[in-house]
Amino acid sequence: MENKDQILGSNPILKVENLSIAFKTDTGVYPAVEGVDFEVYEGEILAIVGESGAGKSALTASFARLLPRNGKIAGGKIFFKGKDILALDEKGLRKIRGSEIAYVFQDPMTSLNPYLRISTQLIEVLRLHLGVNKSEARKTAINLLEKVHIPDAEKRIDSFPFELSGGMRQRVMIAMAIACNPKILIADEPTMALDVTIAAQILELISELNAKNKTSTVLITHDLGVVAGIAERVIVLYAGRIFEAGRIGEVFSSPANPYTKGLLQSIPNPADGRQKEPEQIPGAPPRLDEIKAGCRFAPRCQYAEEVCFQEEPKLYKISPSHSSRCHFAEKIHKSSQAA
Amino acid sequence: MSESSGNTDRGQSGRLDRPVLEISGLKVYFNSGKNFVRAVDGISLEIGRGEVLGLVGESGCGKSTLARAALKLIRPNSGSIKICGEEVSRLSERQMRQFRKKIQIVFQDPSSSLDPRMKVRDIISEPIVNFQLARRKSRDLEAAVENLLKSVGLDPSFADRYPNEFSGGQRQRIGIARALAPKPEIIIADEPISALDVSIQAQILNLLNRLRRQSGIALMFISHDLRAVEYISDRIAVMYLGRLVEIGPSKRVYSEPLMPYTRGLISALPVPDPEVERKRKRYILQGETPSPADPPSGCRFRTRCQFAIEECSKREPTLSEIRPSHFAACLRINAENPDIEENQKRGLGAIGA
Repeated sequence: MENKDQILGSNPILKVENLSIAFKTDTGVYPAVEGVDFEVYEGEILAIVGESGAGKSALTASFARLLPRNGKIAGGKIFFKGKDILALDEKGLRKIRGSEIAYVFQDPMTSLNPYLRISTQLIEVLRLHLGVNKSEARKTAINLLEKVHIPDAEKRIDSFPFELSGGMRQRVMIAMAIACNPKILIADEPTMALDVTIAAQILELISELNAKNKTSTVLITHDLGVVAGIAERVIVLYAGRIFEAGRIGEVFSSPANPYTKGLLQSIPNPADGRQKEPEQIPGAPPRLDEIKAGCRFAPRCQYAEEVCFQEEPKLYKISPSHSSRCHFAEKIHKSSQAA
Repeated sequence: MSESSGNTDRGQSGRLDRPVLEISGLKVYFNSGKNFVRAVDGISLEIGRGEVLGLVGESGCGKSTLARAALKLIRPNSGSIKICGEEVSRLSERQMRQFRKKIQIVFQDPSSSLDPRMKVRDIISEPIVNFQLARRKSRDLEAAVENLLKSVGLDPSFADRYPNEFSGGQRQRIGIARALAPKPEIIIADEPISALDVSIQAQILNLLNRLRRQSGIALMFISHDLRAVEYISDRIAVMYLGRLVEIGPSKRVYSEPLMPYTRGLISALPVPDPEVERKRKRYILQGETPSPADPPSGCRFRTRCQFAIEECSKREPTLSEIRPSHFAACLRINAENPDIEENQKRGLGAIGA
């Protein structure tokens, strides 16, 4: 395990400042992400946790300006290696996409072209980004498939996507993503569509590649358990806002936000040996068009008071690395420490 | 909870009263052109009155096929299914339709399992009217719908809304209310929480648990999430490639799994505690499930099992009682030597049944 202070002290490879993203729909323009600030440091695994609609995919898609057509960066800045991403033209973006910032998406079946062999798809990426010839690219491609532990890579490379299992397809996606040695690998719910045993294999692979290549990794997930195992830091998103951020140890042992606390307690944990029923958070996350004044979690929060419905809390610092968006952050933090 | 004393003639679940669901020797094969996909290949299990049985396994192991066969939604190739003592294969389609009020199902995806053009009131009324438990437009029906909505934690005023006006969690509550409507003896819940947001999963899990405690309804809870299964179930059954490989009291199966496969399933689940997670011994299952159209010879799990020996490819193990009420199908363990790792160290060969 690396020293976390070193991570925080090292240079951020990606810096997001006061970022807001809005989506246009038939009924109006709604904010999906609002006023988000954070950094991704060299070589770390940062987890972004949130439920559906929290804005996690929109946030990470914006790093390489890959938002869908109805999405727009409404404010803020994104710096990649000090370069302003928002100032880049299409040509500049193309240089970064895939080769410097690479993505692995949830469903490998929809991200691979079903009509083309794996070899064709991998070789295309390699030739485009590395400018190598066909036979070299094929060699590299086989090498990549071996790196992601696809057995019999030399033969499997000529398979069509449908001939591979879900786990194998996800390995191909990861191979494609690491093909150009990106600086940042963004894995958007990479295990969502997979069985538990296969999910464990894929997470182990991501963690192994991170340790080996020192690629910064941003892991998006809804499963806090996954986060505990492999990430160094975590950002919890709720309704487009950062609700809590910190090192894994801090956030899991003493959450300073009622939402994070509720999420942690809602997972049945037989290892606890406890018999009590999992804590449940009432209600459901707000839709983008339902966001009201005050704290966005207030309607579901057991600690909410008058002020929570009137005034949106800011992100309070609990420690240099730990922050929480809650009027009662200190109090919640103390009570979790005591527990 | 049905922690039993291990008296074998009381049957698998260790209960004296007649089981709500008895499945024996069930086989369901699908024709896949060249050969048969053995989705369910000789499964016997029973669920007692008011019992919750958790059914786990990876996709393609036959969990849902088993559930569908139990509801007689698909015809098994052989074997028997008894619901409340009645052999369902002997019932005609017409008789079965009436009989289905005893066994109901909750589906995984609450959006696709509710008719978008029906009001919640009509969705929940339909089974009540069909099973002639109340007349259409009667006051009894009104009251029943209201009570059902309340029992699943929804406001009765929601009755006149359409499914698309609800969130995923609320829709799943509507699905549960519909399943409860004909007052069934058993509900089969096929991955009822896996399509829901994390903060909603606990709500549905707690709701199902409360309902079974209040109404004494039996439940077959199918899931790949062993944490949830462990929490809600009295017993856990583990399936692999169409076969039952382990079944026993839920706490025991979770904390002292006998089969290497069960260990792998449990180990694959991340624990939401960084300290535990970093220290614990992970036991990651290598490889993937082989095709059910062409399962390995002998023990079907052997291709992924680190303890497999030659004998495992020759003989298929049968479920046998290793610990009281705790059964496993593995050649490398028996009642005297239940710890496979220990047996490996001691160099014990094929000792199981």
